[in-house]
Amino acid sequence: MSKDVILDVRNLKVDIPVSAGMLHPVRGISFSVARGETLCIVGESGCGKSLTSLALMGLLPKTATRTADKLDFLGQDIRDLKERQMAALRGVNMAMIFQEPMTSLNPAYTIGNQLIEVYRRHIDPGKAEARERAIFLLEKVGISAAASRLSQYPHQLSGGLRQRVMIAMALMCGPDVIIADEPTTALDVTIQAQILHLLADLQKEFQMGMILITHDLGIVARVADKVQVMYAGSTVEEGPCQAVFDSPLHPYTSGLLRCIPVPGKTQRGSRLGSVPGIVPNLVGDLHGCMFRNRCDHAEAACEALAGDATQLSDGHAFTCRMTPDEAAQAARQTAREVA
Amino acid sequence: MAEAALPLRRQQTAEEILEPSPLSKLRKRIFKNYSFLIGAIILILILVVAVLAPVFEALGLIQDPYAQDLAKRLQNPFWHEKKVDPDHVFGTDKVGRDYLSRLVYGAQISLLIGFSTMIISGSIGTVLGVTAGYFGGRVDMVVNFIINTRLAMPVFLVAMAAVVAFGASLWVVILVLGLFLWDRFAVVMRSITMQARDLDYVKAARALGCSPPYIIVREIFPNVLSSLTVVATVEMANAILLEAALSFLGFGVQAPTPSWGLMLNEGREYMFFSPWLLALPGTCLFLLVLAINLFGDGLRDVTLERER
Amino acid sequence: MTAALETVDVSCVFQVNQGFMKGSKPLRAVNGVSLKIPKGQVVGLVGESGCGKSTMASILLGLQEPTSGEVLYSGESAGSFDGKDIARRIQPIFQDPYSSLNPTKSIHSIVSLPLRIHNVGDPADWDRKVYDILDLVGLPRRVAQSYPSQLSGGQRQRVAIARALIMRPEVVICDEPTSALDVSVQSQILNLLQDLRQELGLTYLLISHNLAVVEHMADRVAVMYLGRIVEEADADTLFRDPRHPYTKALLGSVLTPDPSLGVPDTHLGTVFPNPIDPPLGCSFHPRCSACMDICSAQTPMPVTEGDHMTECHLYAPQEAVAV
Repeated sequence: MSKDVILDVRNLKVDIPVSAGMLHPVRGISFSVARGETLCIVGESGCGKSLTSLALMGLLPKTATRTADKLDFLGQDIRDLKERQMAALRGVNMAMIFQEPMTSLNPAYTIGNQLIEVYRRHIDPGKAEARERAIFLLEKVGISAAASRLSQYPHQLSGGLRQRVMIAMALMCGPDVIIADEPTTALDVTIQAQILHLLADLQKEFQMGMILITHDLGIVARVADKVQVMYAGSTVEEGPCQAVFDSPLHPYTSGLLRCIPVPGKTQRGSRLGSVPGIVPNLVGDLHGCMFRNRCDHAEAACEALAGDATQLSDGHAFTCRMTPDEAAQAARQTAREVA
Repeated sequence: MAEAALPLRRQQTAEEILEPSPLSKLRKRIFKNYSFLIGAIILILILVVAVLAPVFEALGLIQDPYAQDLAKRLQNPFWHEKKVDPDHVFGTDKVGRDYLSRLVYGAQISLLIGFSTMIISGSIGTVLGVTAGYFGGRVDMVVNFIINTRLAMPVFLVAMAAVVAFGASLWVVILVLGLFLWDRFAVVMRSITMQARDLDYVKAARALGCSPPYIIVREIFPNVLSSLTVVATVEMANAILLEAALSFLGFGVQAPTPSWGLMLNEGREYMFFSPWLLALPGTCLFLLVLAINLFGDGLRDVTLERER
Repeated sequence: MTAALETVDVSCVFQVNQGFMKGSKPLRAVNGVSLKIPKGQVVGLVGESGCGKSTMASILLGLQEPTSGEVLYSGESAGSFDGKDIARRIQPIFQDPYSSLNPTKSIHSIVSLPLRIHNVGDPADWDRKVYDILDLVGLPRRVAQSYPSQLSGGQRQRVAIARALIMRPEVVICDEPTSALDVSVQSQILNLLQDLRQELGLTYLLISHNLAVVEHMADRVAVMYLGRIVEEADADTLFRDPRHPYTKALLGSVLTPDPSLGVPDTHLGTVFPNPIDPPLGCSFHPRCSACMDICSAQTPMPVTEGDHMTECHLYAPQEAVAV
C-alpha cells in the first residue's frame, strides 16, 4: 500500500457470551485508515458499529473477547498489548469522541483543568506550556475568548460548545487517529453542520486519520472518503464514498438510500422506500447472508453464501450472491418501484 | 438456533415478535437469583411455622408457651452433653416454659409487628410520596416539610414516651412504629413518581383526558410497585429489629407474651451458665432479618432488571 | 375556512429558579405565537431544541395553560371545552416509543385505554375496535396480548399511533415521530402517517428538527426561534425561497446524501442565546450573518407578503426602516 496507513484491521471479531449462547456482534470486519483519510462506518442500531470502535480502542466489556487476523496501529501489532500500554496509546495516539459530551466531561472540574490534565498525564510538559496548548486548541475549535473559557465548568457550556471542547481534548496530545462515535447525533442540525465542518478541517490540517461512526447517510456522503456499510455485524458493502452512493450494489445499501427523503429529489408526499423486517438475532452459529430475511432478491443460494466480497476495480466491494451487473440492475429496479 | 428461524425473503407484514414475554423472563431471572431463592425459602419456612403454631400445638408437636413448670427450670437443649430432657428439645427458660414453643410463638409476634408496621407506614408514606411527586409545587413543599419534621424526631425516644403515656402493649408498639417508619417510603416514592411523571406515557394519558387519580393509580403505581416492595422489605426488617430492641428494654411487648426481644432480656442474667437462652432468640432474629433483606435485595434484582 | 386548530397570540412564561434565595426569572418559552393549522393539511413546525416547539405541543394538547392568548379548536375558544373534549379532537404521538408506552400494560390495554376513559360504545365492541386499529397501523393482531418490551422500536411507534387514532381525532400532533428510529423504520412510519392521513382525513402538526422529513410531509411550514415564529409559508415557497437568515441557515445545514457536496459552513457562530436572558432587538441577531445596526436595537415586526410571513428587518417595508 502506497498510502501512509495508520490503522490496518483484518477480520476483526467480537464475541460476547450471553445466557442464550454466544453472541457475535462483530463478525469479521476489515478496513484500513490512512493519514488524512476519513472512513465512515455506517449502519443501523445493532449492526455492531459501536462495538467495532470499542474493540479498536481496547474498551470492550470484560466478558467480550476480541480476535483479529491483523490489528496494526502505526505499524505495531496491538492485539496483545497490556492494558497499561493500550491506555498510553489511547491517550496519545488514538483519541475518541463520544456522542454525548456531557457524560464524557467530568462535571466537577473546569474544562481548563481537564484539558491540561490530559496533556500533562501523557506528555509531561510544564504547566504553562499545557495551558498554552489548551488555549491554542480551543481557539482552533472555534471557541472565542478561549483563555477565559478555561475556568468554566462543563455545565456552563451549551451542547455544541461542549462537543467542541471534547474535540479540543481529543486533539491535546496530537493523535494520529480520531474515532468519533456518532459525534453529532445529540446536536441540532445547524450545530451538527458546524461540528462536522470543524472536524473535517482539523483532520486535514493535522493530517489525522478519522473513523466516523454514524447512522446518518447524509453525514457519510458529505464527509467520508471511504464508506463501510455494516449489517448484522459484518460489512455488506465498502468502497470510495462517491462509488457507493452513485451505484449502491448491495440490496441493503440501496434499500437504505431509498428510505430517506431528499429535498428536491424525492417528491413531496410520495411513498418512501423501506426495508421491512428486523435485524436477525446474532446468537449461535451463523452462516449465509444475514440480510436474506429482509431482501427482495433472496434465493436459496443466500443461505450458503460465504462471506467473500465481490471486488470491483475501484476498491468498491460488496458481499452478495449477485454479480455486479445483476446487483446494479436490482438496485435500479428497487428505485423504479419506489418512484 | 436463531439461524434456523431466519426465513428467506421478506415478510410483508413487517416485523415479528422476537422477545419472550416479560413473565417468562421474570421466571428465568427468579430461578437464577440465589439470594432471592434462599431468602424466600427461609422466609416462607418461618412464615409457615408461625402461622401453623396453634396447629402444631394441637398436634402435640410443641407445648403451651405459657405453661410454667418450676421443677424443670433451665433445662438443657438437645445438643448439651449432660442431662437432656426429651420433652423440651430446646430446653426451658427460667420459669420452666418450653423454649421451642416460645420461639415459635415469638416468630408470630415478630412477623405480626413487621407486617402491620409495614402496611401502616407503607400506606402513609406511599400516599404522601406519590402525591408530592405527581403534583409537585406547593404540595411537594408541604410534604417535604412533613418528611423533614418526621426525620427530626427520634423514633426510639418517641416510642418509649408513647409507651409510658399509653401503657405498653403489642398494639401500641405497632401503632407507634407504623406512624414513624414511613419516611423512607415517602422519600423513595416521591422521587420515583417524579421521574415517572415526566415520561411520555403519562403525558399520553393526560392528553387522553385521564384524571390525576386514574393516572396515579393505574399508570404510575404499577411501575413503582417493585421499588415499593423493596422499601417495604427493608422497613419490615427495621420494624422487627426495633420491636426487639424496645421489648429488650422493657418498652415493647410485655411479659409473658413470647417476643424474641423480651426473651433476650429474660435470658440476660443466665448468659454465662445457659448461653442458649440468648443464642436461640438471637439466631432466630438474625435469620429472619437476613432472610427478609436477602428477599428484598433479590426482589429488586429480579423485578427492576430492565432490558436495554 | 376555519382552521382545525389555531392559536392567537399565545404566550407561555415559566418562572425559573435562579438558585437558593435568588428569586426567579421569567422564561418566555412561547412568546406571542399565532399559528393556524387548516383542516386536512400538514403543518410543519421546525426549530432547534429549546425554541419552544414542545411547549407549543403541550399548549395545543391542553396540557399546559398558556399565560396569555387563546387556543381555538375549530374556531371555538378552548375555554368552552373540558380536557376530555380536547382529547377527542387532538391526540399526540411522541418521539420516544420506549417511554411513550406503559411497560406494565399489554398492548391491548394501551390501545383500548382511550375507549375506556371516554366510555365509548359497548365494551363488547372494544376488542373489535382494537383489532381494527391494529390492522390499520399494520400490526399483526397477536401483538395485542404482548407487552411493549417485546416489540421493536418501529412496532412500538405503530402502537402509539394506534392509541392516538382509535378515537378518530381530527388533529394529530406528531412530536418528532421518527427521530428515535432507524432510517429503515423511519420511512415505514412516515409512509404509514401519509396513508392514514389520506384514509382518515387527518390534520397533522409535525414538529421536527429534521427538515428533510418536514419537506417531505408538510404543506405549510413554520420556523420557530426562541419562542417566536420567524417565518411561515407554504412548504414549496419556503423551501424554494427562504427569506429569514435563520431559515436559510437551517436549510443550508440539511445534509443530503450527496457525496459531491462537502459539509456546509453555516456561519451561525457558536453562541446560543440564553432563553432566560434573550438578546435585545431581534433575538437572532447575535448569530445572524446579515445583522444590521437596527437588529440589535429594535424587535422586527412580522411582514406578510401573500401568505409568506417573515419577521426580519431585511424585509421590513422601507419607511419603517427609515423611522
